[in-house]
Amino acid sequence: MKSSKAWMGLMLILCFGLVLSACGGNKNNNASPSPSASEAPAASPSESASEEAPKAGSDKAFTIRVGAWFIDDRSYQVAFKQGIEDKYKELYPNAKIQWDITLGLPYFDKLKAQLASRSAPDVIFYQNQEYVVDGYLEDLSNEPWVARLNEAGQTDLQTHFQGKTYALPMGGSIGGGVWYNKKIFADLGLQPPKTTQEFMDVAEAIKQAGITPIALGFKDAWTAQMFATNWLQPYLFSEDPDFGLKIYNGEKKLDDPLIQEVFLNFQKMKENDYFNKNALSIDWPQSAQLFAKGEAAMIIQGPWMPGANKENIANGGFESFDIGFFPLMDDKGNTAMIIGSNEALGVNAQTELMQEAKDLVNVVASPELYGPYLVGGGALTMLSDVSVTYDDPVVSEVQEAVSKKSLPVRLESYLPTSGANALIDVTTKVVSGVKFTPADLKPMIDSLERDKATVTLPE
Amino acid sequence: MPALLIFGMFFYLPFLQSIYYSFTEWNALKPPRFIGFDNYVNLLKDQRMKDGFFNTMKMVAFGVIVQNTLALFLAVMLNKPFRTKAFLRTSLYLPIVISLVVTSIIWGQLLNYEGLFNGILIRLGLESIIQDWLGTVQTSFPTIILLTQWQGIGYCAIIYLAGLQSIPNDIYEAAEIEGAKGFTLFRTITLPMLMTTVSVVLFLIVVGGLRLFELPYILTNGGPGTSSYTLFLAVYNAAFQNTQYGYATAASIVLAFFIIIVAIVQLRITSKREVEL
Repeated sequence: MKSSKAWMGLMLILCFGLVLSACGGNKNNNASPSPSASEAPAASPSESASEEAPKAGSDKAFTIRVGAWFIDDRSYQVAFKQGIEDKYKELYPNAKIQWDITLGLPYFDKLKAQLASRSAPDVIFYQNQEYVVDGYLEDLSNEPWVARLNEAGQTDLQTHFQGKTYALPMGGSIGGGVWYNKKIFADLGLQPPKTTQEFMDVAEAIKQAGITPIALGFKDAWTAQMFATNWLQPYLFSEDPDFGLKIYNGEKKLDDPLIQEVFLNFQKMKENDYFNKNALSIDWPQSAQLFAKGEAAMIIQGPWMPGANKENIANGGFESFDIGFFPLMDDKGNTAMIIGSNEALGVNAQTELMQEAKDLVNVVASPELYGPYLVGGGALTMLSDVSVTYDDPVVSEVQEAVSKKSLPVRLESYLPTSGANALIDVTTKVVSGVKFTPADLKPMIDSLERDKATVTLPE
Repeated sequence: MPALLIFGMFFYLPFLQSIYYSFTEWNALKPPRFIGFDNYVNLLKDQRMKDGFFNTMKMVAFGVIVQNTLALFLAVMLNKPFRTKAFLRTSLYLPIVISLVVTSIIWGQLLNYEGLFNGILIRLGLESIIQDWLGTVQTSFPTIILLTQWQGIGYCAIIYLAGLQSIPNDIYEAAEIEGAKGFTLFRTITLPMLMTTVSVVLFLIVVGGLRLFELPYILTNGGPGTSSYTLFLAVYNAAFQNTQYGYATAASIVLAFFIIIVAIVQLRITSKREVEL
């Protein structure tokens, strides 16, 4: 009896320790994982590019560390990495680049721990403005490539703060939109919808043809966030670009009728069976498979979709088809695309290789590396002297949608991370089949009230 | 002395730091900012924490009533002499040997809308009840609870079996001479003599239920909505998803004390009924 009590006491202590140890690391939720999309670079990168070859350089022998979460064995990524090494070698013949690559979200856990313990890489690929705001990145405003940033590059949020430039935006990407199977649309005589009602009508026609209208892979929570955010965008921002600020200031509430309208749209789509039945238990690659097989006619995804779809069709041996693109819209046909840099490249403010690190960013900004990288990732240029062309005509449709109306901010720009996650909770709840009520938005309101101090307002 | 220093550095120091962090707003990048009891107050307003708490309580209650009873029943059955006893004992214990991560992934596939489980239901003519078991608010957490039973019952049954085998046979023989048999034997001899084991099993079930994390994390990450959140998952996501380390630390401290209090209460209740051999 005595020994069993002692044993249980020990168990209690261990449990206590285990519970407390749950807070020993960190993670970044807002960073969307880099999907395994690939798109063969087929276009020439820069025709009118001005060569900005760094002037510095020396015979000094050193190892410079570069941190990234997305550089994998996709062909354009391999070429990008090799290109950086070759070009940097011209500048610093005795330098060695050490790639600190941790694929996916764990990279951001590691990066935070490294920054806090002053052991982070010298050159850092990152997402989110928090590294800038918290002072971990060097001011790069005087670097030569800054003058080459185009308008989108100059207004990019995660690379700028208080009028200074802290990183090179690695191409602009859309927040997401609707990619559709052109063959299915043509066979059914459908046109890309312009209003929410038309979107519903198109989905209904596809359903009647025995095809799943929209493929969702909400097991990856960021895809739920992507769908909700991109649909909220035209409703909230197309007629009132200050809507986000008004939410933050309390002039508007997060249970605003416009926000409710979007969730009622989700509810209607769910009730009408416009989503795949396993929407919440499959991840985004599985939903992309449904799309590639032709079992679903539309998918809401990011700019990597054309490349990913080609790869899925080739790997799966499915019948090839062209894909089209249209942005999510409101009832009146307004659109408001989200545009921003996907990856950003900055310099660790604590690095001992400051000039060498800045030179490496300069190398990456050179048109012969930057251009093919954009083509590979389906990204839009953010440097005025780098123009890219894509072999897939769908990118032109994306560019057209972006040029119609696009904004560098989104609802989450004015919410704390907890509020953005509460948005995901509402979305998955409604898509699972629960009827939407305005009370569902209360956790978002509470999050904003509670964690308002953690929001860095976009400038 | 060096051992004590190392222990202090890696156990007590982080613990004391945790208490400090629980009173701060801290995102791991900026220095912590003292905010008093705000984190503790906010716990009561957090939907994920609230749903996590109620789901965790459901889990504990189900474990104590169903898992415990079934485990005891199975142990009593397995304590009887029959031919396939060894095979059945091994089979019962097998789920605990397999990694939870592996079993979670397999169960996730089986319970998918197009998975084997729904396939079987269709073959049985039960097409009307098929659904995405982990993708609806009504079924996601009950499904997770049932999966924990699949793994937990065998483990508890083996512990009960060990307890049953430690009861001397001559006590049963004496009772049988006195005319006791069947359920009377179980009620008057087996159960009282097994109370120490009951205490241990209940402790494991209660603490295991309160610490439920892996299955909801891998299978649903708390969704749809917040329907399958548990307290541990809510703490984890507060830290690693919302990057609110101060808040998560406050939650983990409350959770730790909650586990200790529940465990102590449970031990007090069961230990009063224990019989010394």
